Amino acid sequence: MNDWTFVAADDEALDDVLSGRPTPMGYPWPKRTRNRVRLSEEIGALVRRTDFDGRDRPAALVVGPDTGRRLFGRYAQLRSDLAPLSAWTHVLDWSQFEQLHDDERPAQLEGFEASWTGLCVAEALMLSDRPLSQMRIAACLATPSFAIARSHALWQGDPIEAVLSRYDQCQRLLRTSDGSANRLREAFLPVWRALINASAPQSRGVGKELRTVSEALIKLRIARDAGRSESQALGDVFTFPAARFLSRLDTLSPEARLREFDRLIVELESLPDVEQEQRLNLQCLAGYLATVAAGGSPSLGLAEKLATRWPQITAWAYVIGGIGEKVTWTSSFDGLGRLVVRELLRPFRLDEAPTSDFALAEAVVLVDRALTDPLVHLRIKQSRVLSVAIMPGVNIAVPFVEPTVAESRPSRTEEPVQIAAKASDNGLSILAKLLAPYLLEHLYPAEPEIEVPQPQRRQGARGRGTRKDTQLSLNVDRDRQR
Amino acid sequence: MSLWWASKDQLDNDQMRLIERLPLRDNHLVLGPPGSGKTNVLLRRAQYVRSQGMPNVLVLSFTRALTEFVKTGCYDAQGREIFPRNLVSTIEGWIRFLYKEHKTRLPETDHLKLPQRKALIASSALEFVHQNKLPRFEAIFVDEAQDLLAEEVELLRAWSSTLFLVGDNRQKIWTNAAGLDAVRDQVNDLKEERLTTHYRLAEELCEMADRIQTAENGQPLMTNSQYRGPKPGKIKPNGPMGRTAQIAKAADRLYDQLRVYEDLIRQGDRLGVIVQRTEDRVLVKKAFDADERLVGKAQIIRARSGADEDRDHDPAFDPSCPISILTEKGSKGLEFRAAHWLFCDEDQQYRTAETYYTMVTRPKTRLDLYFASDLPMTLAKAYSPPAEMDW
Repeated sequence: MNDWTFVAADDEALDDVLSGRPTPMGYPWPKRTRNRVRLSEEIGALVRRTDFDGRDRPAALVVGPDTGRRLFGRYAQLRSDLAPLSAWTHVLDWSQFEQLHDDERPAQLEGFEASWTGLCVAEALMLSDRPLSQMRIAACLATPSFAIARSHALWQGDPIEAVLSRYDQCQRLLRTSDGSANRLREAFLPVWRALINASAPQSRGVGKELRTVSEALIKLRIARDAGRSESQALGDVFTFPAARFLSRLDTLSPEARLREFDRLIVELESLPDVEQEQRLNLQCLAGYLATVAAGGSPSLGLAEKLATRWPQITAWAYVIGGIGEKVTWTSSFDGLGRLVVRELLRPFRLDEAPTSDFALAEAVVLVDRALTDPLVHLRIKQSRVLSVAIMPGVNIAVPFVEPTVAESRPSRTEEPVQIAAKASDNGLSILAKLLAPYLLEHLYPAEPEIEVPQPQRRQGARGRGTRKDTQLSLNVDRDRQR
Repeated sequence: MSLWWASKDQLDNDQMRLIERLPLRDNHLVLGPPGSGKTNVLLRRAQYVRSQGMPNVLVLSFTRALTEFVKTGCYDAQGREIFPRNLVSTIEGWIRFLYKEHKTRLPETDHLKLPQRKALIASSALEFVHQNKLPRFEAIFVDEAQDLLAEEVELLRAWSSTLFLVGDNRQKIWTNAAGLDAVRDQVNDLKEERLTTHYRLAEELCEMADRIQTAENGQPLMTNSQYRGPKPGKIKPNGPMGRTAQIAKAADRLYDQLRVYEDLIRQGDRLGVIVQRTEDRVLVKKAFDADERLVGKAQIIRARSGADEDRDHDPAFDPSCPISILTEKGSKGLEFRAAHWLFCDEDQQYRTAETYYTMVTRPKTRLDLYFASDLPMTLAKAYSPPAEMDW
């Protein structure tokens, strides 16, 4: 059994804790310290004495934002052997720590796991414009839908805007732009809100324009769970004239359902922008109809053909298609479904080391645009896709391209004097380093530089040519560009 | 309906038993109604037998269209080959191969009608087995065995001591075929198995088929249906109208069906257009190609004619052409999400109850019948219009 201790530490004590030396005086956790240490302490560490070797392992740091910033910088500069901290120990803020009542925090989506998974897949499909058969799990884990779903599953209560803000910050920090994910944001926002409301343990209430669709999701789930007529359940919620077909949906042939779908789209097109609620209702209803258009079988092609004009319909279709689905380990979505749902529902465990490459909070401090390699302090050992924790346990995929040899070579503008100044070098190596810039000029002819407006970014190695070009698009697009 | 479940056909316990638990070297005849999974069992059984140290197997079916349909089952959902497609052939193609391998010319048959010609070619090929040039097969698997000629059964028996045949006498559309009687007479120690549950046909289609013929085991199709596909099913007579109007009406419906069944089509479903005469296939194809909604979506499924100009014809199902245009005989053994039977009141004298039964059981969900004067009597008797609501 693990033995947890909460240590309130100053910088010196923290060095000991993080180095694995015997833990200073602490409190047993979670029994006695819950919620009672915050006021008096600046830094907290949760330390676990492991079964197998009896050593103390710091499993989580608890810090406020200012303290975190200071610590991340300090360890990167002074104890770089331990940096980045978030690669090996969880980093929590105090409010997150207060929500922990155990060393495991379950992820809960209240029966809407399949719907959230469908939404992640739908967004990845629309962003990448690829068929499902070519979709990879990383593309789904790179979507805002995944970030929101996973944050909601683990840390209910964080507003969508806060999650999206972290998501965008991550994209801006590690890529040249926040990518094309914003393209769908406005369309997906109501879907996220309605689904969060439906998949929360207790309804938090939604805006007036979302009340009907939120109720529809819940009624649909209840009907499916009880084996009752789902079209009748929806008919009770959608009472406007365009939804009258729901009362006789069971008797409509696929061809007749197709005509109803077309009618919904015509009405949607004719609706003025101010009719926001009715617009959402029609989109949701069209999404539902796409899932049963082929006589009870889905016909997602109907929605997907309209995805450019009405991405909401495809989003609703994928959400509604998963409502009430409890068996989530099938090969749905060409096998992607079970992989996405596994990541959504993975519990956050303090006794397991982080599975991300680093936390966003630390990356914000350690990324230095003035360096040849701005990400050098993050010690990235992954290729292609990074896993970044935008919150503890909420790891999103971020496309990443390792610098090429040409990109990582020393700059010719580097001062030879600086290199020569290192006392530890012997004479031969000093000579080699002095000559290196001139040799490299012949070994690696200069590449043409691509002009990309980046006012805040210095023209460093990571900012050159291919790197910028590939980072302008989502990872899911990258293979296609090759 | 949920999007979550992968719509993979699941094998039931009866089908599993026939595939895995029957003795490998026994002769078997599997009977079952349309949509009971006979062809599926046949191919999976062949796959299983190959995995049990008997790799030298052959899968035979009747028509080129059916052979191509069986070949589509040689690949998994990701398009990987899971059974060698070269081990699937038409019976005629295999017999021609025997002649070629034994450097023997086909017998002169131009003066004979098709059944006699096939019988002569098969019986003449019998002697090849004694030449010991090619090894005998460890097992031969035959689909649509009810349409076998006695000579063909004899040839199969000569080339393998293990035969696995599937068939249904209610779907026998070659009137001269000896069919299952010949199989029972000639194949030693034949063990008969029966599939009763079927999955293909919507309720409305089951009812119509039951009014054309009673099933071989006396049980109506309706009683053993486990259809889980799109509902409601529908049979729609369209007429009277001229030939051009029939094709135009079918084109309208097909366009709707391409849209509404797009997902199912992506998973392998097809839409069928059935005509009786071979020349009508070309007529329909031209009309569809002239319709901008259907251009490039339709394909005539037929064998190569043997003519030089036909050398490049590919009889395989083209995934980008979900509409298959076939003759009535060419559609045997196949299945479609929806079928359109054009000109169904023409040349009625060549049809039997088995023909009508076979045609009505091709579509899974919807059958459109097009006629110029009246529905043929067999269809008119079997068709029951849906009750109209008077409110």
